[in-house]
Amino acid sequence: MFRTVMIVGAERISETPDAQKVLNQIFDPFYEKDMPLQTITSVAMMACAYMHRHGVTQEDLASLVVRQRKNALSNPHAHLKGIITIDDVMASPMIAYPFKLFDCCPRSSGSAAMILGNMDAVREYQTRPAFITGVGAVSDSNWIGDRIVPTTEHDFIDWKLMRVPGKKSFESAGITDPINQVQVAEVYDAFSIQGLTQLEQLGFCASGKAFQLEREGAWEMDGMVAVCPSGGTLCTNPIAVAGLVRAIEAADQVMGNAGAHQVSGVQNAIATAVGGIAQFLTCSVFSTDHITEH
Amino acid sequence: MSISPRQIVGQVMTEEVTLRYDYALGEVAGKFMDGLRDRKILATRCSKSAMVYLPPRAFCERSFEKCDSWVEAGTEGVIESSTIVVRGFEGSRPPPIAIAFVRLDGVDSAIANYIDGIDMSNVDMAMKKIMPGTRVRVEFIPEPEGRVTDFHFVLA
Repeated sequence: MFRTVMIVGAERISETPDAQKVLNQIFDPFYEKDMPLQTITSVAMMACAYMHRHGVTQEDLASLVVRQRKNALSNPHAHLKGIITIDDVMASPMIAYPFKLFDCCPRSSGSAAMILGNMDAVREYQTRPAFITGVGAVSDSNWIGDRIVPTTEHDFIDWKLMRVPGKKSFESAGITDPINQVQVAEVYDAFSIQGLTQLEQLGFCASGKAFQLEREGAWEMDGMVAVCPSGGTLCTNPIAVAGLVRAIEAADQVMGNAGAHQVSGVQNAIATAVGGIAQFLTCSVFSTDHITEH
Repeated sequence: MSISPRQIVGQVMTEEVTLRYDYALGEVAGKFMDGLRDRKILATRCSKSAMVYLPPRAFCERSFEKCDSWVEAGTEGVIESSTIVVRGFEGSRPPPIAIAFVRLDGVDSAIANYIDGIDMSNVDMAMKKIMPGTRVRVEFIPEPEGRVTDFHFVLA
């Protein structure tokens, strides 16, 4: 057994203007590539159905973008940042309904690294570690058309699949009341719809209610739970390491290392990651205290 | 040592990559494409789980058994999700274009295709006409060639 392990990765996707063409290779050549199905339009379709189902508006999505761009101002590593308004988001060019340009992440280059250690290494090098108290991961079918129909076990429109890694990681971390036990949620949100739908399935609020809470300020830095203090994937997406960045941000919040976007009094922070066309999901919990052995 | 911005610009190497593929249709996709030439949309069924798959699958992801029969999908169905693509995609058709995942009658999964015949002069209004739950029907092109674009959806 090794005492310490370094996890490291890098992404240089901003070096090609054809990033979407590369990503589009995940779609099926026989049934999908003949039409404009790609990562943006697929999530846009999910978003349309979610908004129709729960009465969420484009302005609701825009208010999340405004909050996260503002959060990103305090993050020196963020790509897109600034004070913008709901009107600015609404006036940005429409890509695929309901997504305008500002609802979508940029293609960013970046690298990230995290060091994991056992208790011996922690005692030697780190006075204020973050303990990984829960991890969960799940894979589903890649076929979108199987995941949005009545027969599906994990409805893609509401992101129900996130319940699986959520349940596993929260049980292990002893989290039974997430909105009161978790202070920071670094959810993977390549699009404005993606982060809050995950929070719903993780039990922070009822399905379809997260955007109402967004309007009420629940996810602000000083709200009930600080959602993406870093600005999130929405503001910075070095794709290959964007999931790792979420984990690092969550760990930094627990360790008090988050700098200008540090949230006070963080005991538990969660990080999620999404891969493929959202058929791979993970959820991790980072805590100030380690799990007590029973 | 410092590097001036001019030198950094000079250190960019440009490359263009073209990849060519010949995708083998195989037994299942091959039969589906043959069906399209006959103006039929063919799905596969697993007798163990009773799931009917479109696009057709060789194996059932629920029972892990072989899909053991073919079923002709209905010519009408319901929109499960949809969008109108306005820009940012280089395809064979000029935007704005409507696409949707539609669950055809008698089938358990949804298949994607274009929705035609929608007035696109106002995208917001067009979007309202293709919301989930909307009934659509299949329309074939005059001369099917064994490709998924042999058909599209129109409002029922």
